[in-house]
Parts: sequence; C-alpha cells; structure tokens
Amino acid sequence: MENFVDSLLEKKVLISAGTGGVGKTSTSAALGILAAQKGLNTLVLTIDPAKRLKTALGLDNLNDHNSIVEVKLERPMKGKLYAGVVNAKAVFDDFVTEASPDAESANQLLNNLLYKKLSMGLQGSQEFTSLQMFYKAYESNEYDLIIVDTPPAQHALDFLEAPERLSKLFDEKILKWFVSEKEGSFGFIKKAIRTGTRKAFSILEKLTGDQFVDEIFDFFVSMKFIRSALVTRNQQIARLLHSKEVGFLLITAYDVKKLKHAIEFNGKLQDLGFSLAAVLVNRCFPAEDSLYLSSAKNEKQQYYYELKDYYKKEEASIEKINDEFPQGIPVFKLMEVISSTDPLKTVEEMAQQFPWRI
Amino acid sequence: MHYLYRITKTGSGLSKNIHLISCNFFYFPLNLLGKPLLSGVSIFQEEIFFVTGKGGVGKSSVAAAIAHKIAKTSNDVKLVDLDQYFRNMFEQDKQIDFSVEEWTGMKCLSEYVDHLVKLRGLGKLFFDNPVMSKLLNIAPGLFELAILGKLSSKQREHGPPLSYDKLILDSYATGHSLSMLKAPFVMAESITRGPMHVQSQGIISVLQSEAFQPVVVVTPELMAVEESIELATEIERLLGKKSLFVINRIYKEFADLPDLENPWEKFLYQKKNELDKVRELLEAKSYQYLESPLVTNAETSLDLLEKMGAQWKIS
Repeated sequence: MENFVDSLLEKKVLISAGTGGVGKTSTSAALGILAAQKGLNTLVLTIDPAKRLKTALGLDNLNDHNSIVEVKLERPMKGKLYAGVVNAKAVFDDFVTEASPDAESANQLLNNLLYKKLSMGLQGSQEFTSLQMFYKAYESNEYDLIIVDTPPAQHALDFLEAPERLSKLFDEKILKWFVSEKEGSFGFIKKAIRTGTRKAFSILEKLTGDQFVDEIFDFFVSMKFIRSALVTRNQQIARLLHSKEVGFLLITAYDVKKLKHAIEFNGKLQDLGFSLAAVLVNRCFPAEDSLYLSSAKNEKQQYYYELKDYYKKEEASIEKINDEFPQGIPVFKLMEVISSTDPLKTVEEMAQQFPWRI
Repeated sequence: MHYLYRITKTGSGLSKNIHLISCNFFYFPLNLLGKPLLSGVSIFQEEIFFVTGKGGVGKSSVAAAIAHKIAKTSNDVKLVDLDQYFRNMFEQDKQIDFSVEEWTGMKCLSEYVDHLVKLRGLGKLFFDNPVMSKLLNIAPGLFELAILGKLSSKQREHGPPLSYDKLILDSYATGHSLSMLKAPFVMAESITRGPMHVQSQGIISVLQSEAFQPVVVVTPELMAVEESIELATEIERLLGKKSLFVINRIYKEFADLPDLENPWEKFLYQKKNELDKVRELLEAKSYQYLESPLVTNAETSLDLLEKMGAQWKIS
C-alpha cells in the first residue's frame, strides 16, 4: 500500500486534474503535506483557494511578485512545504513585459482597456498563467516535488487544451489581418476575405459601437508582439507535460456523473500521450466494515443501509474504473471528512487517510 | 473597483418599462432579516432566479426543484439549462409542469444578431467569417453578456421576444457565474458610449431590480459554505441584494443522544453538528435559506424534485 504513495511521490511534478467541485485544492494540499512529511521539499501551487485556506496557508498578504510562502504545521515535517497562489493578472503582466521587445510595446498591450479589464477572462488565460508559474518553479530547480492544482473547469481536459487553444486564438493570419487593416496596407490576395470580414465588422459595430471595435483592434494589434513568445512557451510546457517526470492525478468525486467523466478523461489522457499516476475518489461514503454497525441504534442502522443502497451506483462506477484503467494505476478512495472551522486541520485529516485502495 | 452603480439614465434603446424598474433601485429584498424560510414567508416572488454555487453541490437539481415548486402557482415556468444537464432527464415524466430550454452563449448571441440585422444571410455572414469567429471566441465576456441579455430581454423589451412568467437559470459554478454577473459592469465601465454601453447598463438595471433573485446552493459543509458566503458577498456588492441560500443534501437528523463509541452514530452526529453550525453561520450573516434533504428514495426525476422542495412553502 505504502509503495503506491511512494511511487507517486517519485515524480517531480504532479498535476491535479478533474472537473469542478471534486475537492482538487484540498486534495492537492493534503498530498503536499504528506510529501513534506516524507521529507520532500514540496511546492503546492493553487489557483483560486478559498479565503480560509488561503489565510491558513499564509497566502493572504502576498504581493504580486512574491507569491510563494513556506507553510508551518503543528505536526513536524521532514521536508519543507511551500504554498503558492497563482496571481493570474500579475503572471500575465510579467509575461507580457518579458516577451515584448521594448517597454513601449509592452505598455501598449498592458494599457489596452480590454486587456486591463478583461484579460483574465480570456479563454485559456487562467490555465496559461498557472502553467507559466509552474514552469518557472520547475526551471528554478528549488523543489523536489511540485503539485499543481488546476483551475476549476467544466471538463477536466480544458486544462490541457487551453494553452493550445490560446495559441490558436492568436493565429498569425488573424493578427496580420488586424495589423494590415489598422495600418491601411492591403495586399489584394485576400481581398475577398477582407470584404467579408469588413462586412462582419460593420455588423459588430452596429451591435456594439465604434469604441468597442476600436478597443478590439488595438488589443489584437498589440498582441502581435507577444504572440511568438506565447507559442514558444506553450510548446515548452507541452514538452515538459509529456515527460516522465510529470504524472497526472485524476481527482474525482463520489458521483456517478463525475466518475463517468473520469473514465472519459483517462481515455483522452492516453490519446494525448500523458501519463496517469493515480485516481483519487473524494467524499466516498464510509465503508461498512469499519463502522461497527451492530451496536448502532435500529433506525440509524436502517438509515445506513438506505444510504448504502442509494450509493450503490457510485460503488459500481468505482469498480468499473478499477477494471478499465491500466494495470498498476492505483485508485484511492478518500472518505468524507467532517470539516472543522480550521481548514488546515481538515486538510491534514485528509492527508492521514492516504493511502486507501480498493 | 467600483461596481455599485446607481443608474439614473437609461438609454434610448430601452423602453419605459425600464424606467419603472429603475425606480426600484432602493428596493431591498425582504429577506434581510435572516430567518430560515421554512414556513409562511413569501418566497419566489421574483421573475428571474439565478442559481449558482460550488461545483457538485446539486445546483442543477435545486434549480429544477425551484422550477417545479414555482410551477404549482405560476403558469409559464422556464428552466434554462446552460450545459445540457437536463437533456433526456424528464423523458419519463409526463406531468412535467415547466419547460426546459437549452441556451448557449453562441445561440443567444446569434439570435440577437439575427434580430438586429433582420436581413437573412447577413447574420450567417457575420458568424461564418473566420476572423469574426475567432474574435467571438476570444473576446471575453461576450457570450456571458449575450446570455444575460437574453435573460433580461423581457424586462428591457429589447431583443427577440421571450415570454415567461418565471424563469430559473441554472447558471455556472461559483467563479464563472460571478464573472458572468460582472461582465455587464466591466463592459459598461470600459466602453463608455454606443450600443454596447447602453445594453450593458440596461442589463445591470434588471439585475439590480426586484425582478432578479440570486440563489446560492450549498451542501452542509462549513468550509464550502464559508466559500459560498464569499460569493454571496461579491454578488451583494454588485447587485445590492442578498442571495437566497439553499442547503442541499442534508442527512437525516436524529434527535436522540448518540453513542459516540459507535463510528456511524458519531458520523451522523458530527454531520448534524456541522449542519447546525452552517445554519448559525447563515443566520448570523442575515441570509435566508431553504433546506433540501438528501433524497435517497426518488422514483422518478420529478419525484426527486417534489421531495427536494417538500418543505418549502410558497405563501
């Protein structure tokens, strides 16, 4: 049993993936505690932790450029535990500054209204910034293990596809169109497309107004400076994600739909050439044998069986995961913890539950 | 950032209906006095319910339970589905008393474009254009705005006609739904003139009016509830109104003293304790809330909704 956790912790990077609401952040933190207890210098990167967890981890008073702190727990740990929170805006701003040829072109983008107000709403930007921060931490060589908590998503795969999507959105041809249109320089090769696009833009202007269209133009035109850096970084990240040093943790919850997603996710992971390290099923219904039911009062026993019956579909799905997943991939069941007002205690309690296996 | 708008002027594209609504800016929801809404108090009086909450708390089921409850006293009840959650769900239920509509950002936007340009083919030209389709996918907030635009079109009398007595939107989970609600504010602030500005302001005025009620679904877990209160606080900052909470998936409560030596009894007891703390917390923050049990014995989807809302009373 112990070996599974050990082999898990041999990776240099663990990526917690899963759909929203399955307890990714708490599980990542719990695993981080476990790794540090075993003597690894561990960094847990979180995206959007709850305020209480943030406070408990000491992440409250971080400024934009110093976003990693050491976490101290009551229970001593052999290794050091660090926690970091991804400040998406700051990471993106830094990236723009570094990638731009000069301060003027950097500012052109940084000061664009749409960029300022909405850049963090860009599809894939949150994923990009968390990967960018993780890549930098990896490059620094300061940690034995980095655990990356991925942003909440409807579909677990959004995370993996996001950088690619972001690169594609800033497609070279599209940027060129904006630039040439803005500068008024026309080749006649794509005149037909231009005419169509112009028409489409006049509809957009009718819908939204000239100011909105102007802002959009400026945004795309200033994006041209960072496009190639963005694409290059995404390629570097993709290479690292495919390497043996990186393992994916599939985190899911005790819910038929989410378990079904998990199976689909594994299929896609394999198609894309990523390696799954373990499956964690959160918030499982407590197992019967550990509960000394016989001494419980009648009505409570009855309620137990009612719930057990209710959860039988979930149990069957977990069995199915176990059957379908490749040999040697451990499936951990984590029981529901009663959360206390101290989030660190809750997370520590989760950590003590490892390793469970069916 | 400053979000608490008081809009005094409505745009030219808006009807007088809007003026009526915007008179109600200083309206405060009745549920300021945080009491459990278990009996007697009038609930579900608003026209639009925006249901959100952390992932996995049963948001969609609660949204449907609200639709079913409201359908007992209202005629035309629409449940709006943003991620095909309800597809095929009610096939077996012949007595379903509300309608389910699937909306996507793209669909709402294209309906709106078609409505405005009116010329057939022009809308297609717009959406099929390669530059435009990239742009629509990249421009943040546009799809969210389109959804809110359709959601508020009845009150604004703008856009393709949409009729209903009550509309329940099964919205996105926490962060995404918050950025959706923020979209018109951010847009109205950044774009200071033109139709985009006017429509964004119109949407804001509906969100802030008494027609609109945010609903936050939670499970009885302290940490998760604290997080959801952060969400409700943000919503209050934006819209100047308190969310209605629904505590979902509540385990059966046993009144007798537990045998704490027995792990199962202890588990149930701790669960009950946690639930009580959740109730206290919501009451301390003056939130009104409804409760739904964890339904283990539903026969059909409709039966599930019936049982979830069994304790809710509409006055």
